[in-house]
Amino acid sequence: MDVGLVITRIIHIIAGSFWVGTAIYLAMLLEPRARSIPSEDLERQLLNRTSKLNSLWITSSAAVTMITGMALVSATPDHSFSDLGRGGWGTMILIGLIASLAAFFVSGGAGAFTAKLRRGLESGNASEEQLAGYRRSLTILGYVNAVLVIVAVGTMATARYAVG
Amino acid sequence: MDAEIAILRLLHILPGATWVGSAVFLAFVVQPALAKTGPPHAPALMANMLKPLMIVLHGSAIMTIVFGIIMAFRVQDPLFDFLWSTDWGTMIWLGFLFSVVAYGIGNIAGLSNKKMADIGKSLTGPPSPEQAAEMTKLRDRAILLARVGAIGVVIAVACMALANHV
Repeated sequence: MDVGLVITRIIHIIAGSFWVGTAIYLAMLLEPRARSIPSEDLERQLLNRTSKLNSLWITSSAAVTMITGMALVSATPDHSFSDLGRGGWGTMILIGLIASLAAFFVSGGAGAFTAKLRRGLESGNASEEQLAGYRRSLTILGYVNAVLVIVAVGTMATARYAVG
Repeated sequence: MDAEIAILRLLHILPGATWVGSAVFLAFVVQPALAKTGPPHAPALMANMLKPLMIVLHGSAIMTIVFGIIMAFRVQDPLFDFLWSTDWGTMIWLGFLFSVVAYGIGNIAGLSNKKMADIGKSLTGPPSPEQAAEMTKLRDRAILLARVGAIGVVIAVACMALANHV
């Protein structure tokens, strides 16, 4: 048993699960439900208490997932980075890699809008239109992020069964 | 066979990731944040979020467990011979045990949250000292149980991920 490979795989799977679950939870549950209570005070308090932690949580789990994923590609028997984009396995892994990179940047964008919304609510300087714009962007980016991580997990999980 | 296993794997892994990530995020980020926010907003949000949260957590947990069992029967035949006599089997039943226990603990946490939300919903003004104390007790119990459940599913994932390597 290759202990290094096993530990890397466990870290990859657990960090990936955090990333996927958090993205889905934020996009499908927390945000729509928090928005349905029309209270700027609740929104401000929630953002103050969770936004930095969310960013840290998502960024760390995403970074750990991608780094360990790259290590796994290079450590997988009979496969290497030169296989990316070639054959069934390489194509699925490449799609997963692109989707996860895109999700990483999309969640970074969502983090930037969250920070703007939090600052806008705290300072009271942002207009209602600006705040509505930040909220709209956050909702869209949240859904895009959730879809991208689902695509990434789906392609990675089925890569070894891909024909070609 | 390959296509069938690939689909089963997808139906096991996607809900599994949703279950694990949501449980950990709820237990270690959302619930502590709501506890600090306190009434009147936190119980209102929890009451508003409880139903879809339960649908997501129950749905993903049940799908993960059911498709995991189907997949185990498809990849090892006869499964029960492998389950008790191989290291792979030991890791699989340990993972199954942890996931079922974690699911049960998560359900008890959900019930505590529901009781707290019901008290929150019934309030017409600020809570009485007795109601506030009861809500605090239920909230703390829900946070503790949610954390134990979340750790349980993480251990279940680790067992399952280890199974192919032992």
